[in-house]
Amino acid sequence: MASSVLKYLPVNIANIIANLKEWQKREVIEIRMRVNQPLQLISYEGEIFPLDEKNNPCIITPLDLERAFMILVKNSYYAIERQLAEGFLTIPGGHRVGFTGQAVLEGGEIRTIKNINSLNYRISRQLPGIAGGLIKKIFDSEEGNIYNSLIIGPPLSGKTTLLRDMVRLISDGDERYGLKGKKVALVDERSEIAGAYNGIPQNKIGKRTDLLDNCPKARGMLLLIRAMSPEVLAVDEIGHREDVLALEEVINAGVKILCTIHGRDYYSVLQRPSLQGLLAGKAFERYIILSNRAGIGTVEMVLDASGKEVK
Amino acid sequence: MVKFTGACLILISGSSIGWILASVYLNRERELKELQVAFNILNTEMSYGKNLLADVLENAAGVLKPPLSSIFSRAGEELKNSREKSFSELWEELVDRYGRQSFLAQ
Repeated sequence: MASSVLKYLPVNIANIIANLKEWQKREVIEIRMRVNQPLQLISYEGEIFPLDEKNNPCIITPLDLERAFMILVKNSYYAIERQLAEGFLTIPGGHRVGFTGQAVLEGGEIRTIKNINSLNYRISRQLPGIAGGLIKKIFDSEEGNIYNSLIIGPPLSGKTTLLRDMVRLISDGDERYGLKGKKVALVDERSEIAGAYNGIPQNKIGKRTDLLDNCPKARGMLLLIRAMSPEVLAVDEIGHREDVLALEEVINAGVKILCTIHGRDYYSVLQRPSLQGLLAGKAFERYIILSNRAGIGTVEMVLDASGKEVK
Repeated sequence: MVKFTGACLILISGSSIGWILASVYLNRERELKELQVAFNILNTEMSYGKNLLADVLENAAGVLKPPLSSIFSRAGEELKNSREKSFSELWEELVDRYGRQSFLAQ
């Protein structure tokens, strides 16, 4: 899957990356290109600045960046002007490419971004099975219900990867845990979870999952509970007040929720003003705390609604 | 008789040259009209349809006759497959290659 990313890079850059041992060992998680700066790769082990054939740092020229961007937009900048305003594009395989440049404003809103100066290819990796060890802690086997769960972690701690596998597992069901497959609705605002390309999921999200792709979370959640009668609803990166209001609606409708939020730990999330209503009502029955202390996806602990560790 | 034959030959050859020259101008006009339609298609499909440039070029090639159609269809094809050339490089190369064969270059 990751090799498909190379098709979206200029040939000279793709060749350099393809020859790196870290790439061949599937350890690279980000490829960063900044104009007039060396090519940078981020791997599980740290950062890499690849060298060219003359053993010099591989400097990204304005032409390299322009070519890379034109490959990404298929030479059709005009066709995706609206998506450009969001600052990222999703390419087949569910990989996300973020970019920066000069913002073009209209009425105080970003209309598009021009003169791109930096690209960040975030490589999406599926890790089927990683949610297996956690499922016992978020599944009430007596009632046959999933607990409302919030995954907390800093950037690059594997929140989305874990959420994706939880969605897959809950949707497919797993006899080993006594878990029967449930109807899952997934709002994927940035096409990161399902990695949909033209609306079709590229990642494994389970056979009972209904995907609403590229839709604002709050509106998407309300649409899904009305339209698809889910048993579980999953959403990534909540935090805005409208997301919280929509989540309250979902919970009141009797639908279980799985969501993620940026945060260092449990206490940092407790202080988020927008979440106060949900937290006071003990809406979340499980908190899964992630970190990258022992590598991406380290599960620090699982807490219950009152903040006690679930063993 | 010889004079008459000579006069006829001059008349026929003069007319033929005239027709040949006129056909070049007529074909130039036809090619210009076709290009106008093709560029209108490009404009509409890009501005309103927001279709990808490679597909738009291939669609526009349909209203053109060779060699101009080759410029558009090859540009569309190569845009889909090439990662090494920008559109402007590709376009210049194709206009250079196929444009010379058109009546507009004569």
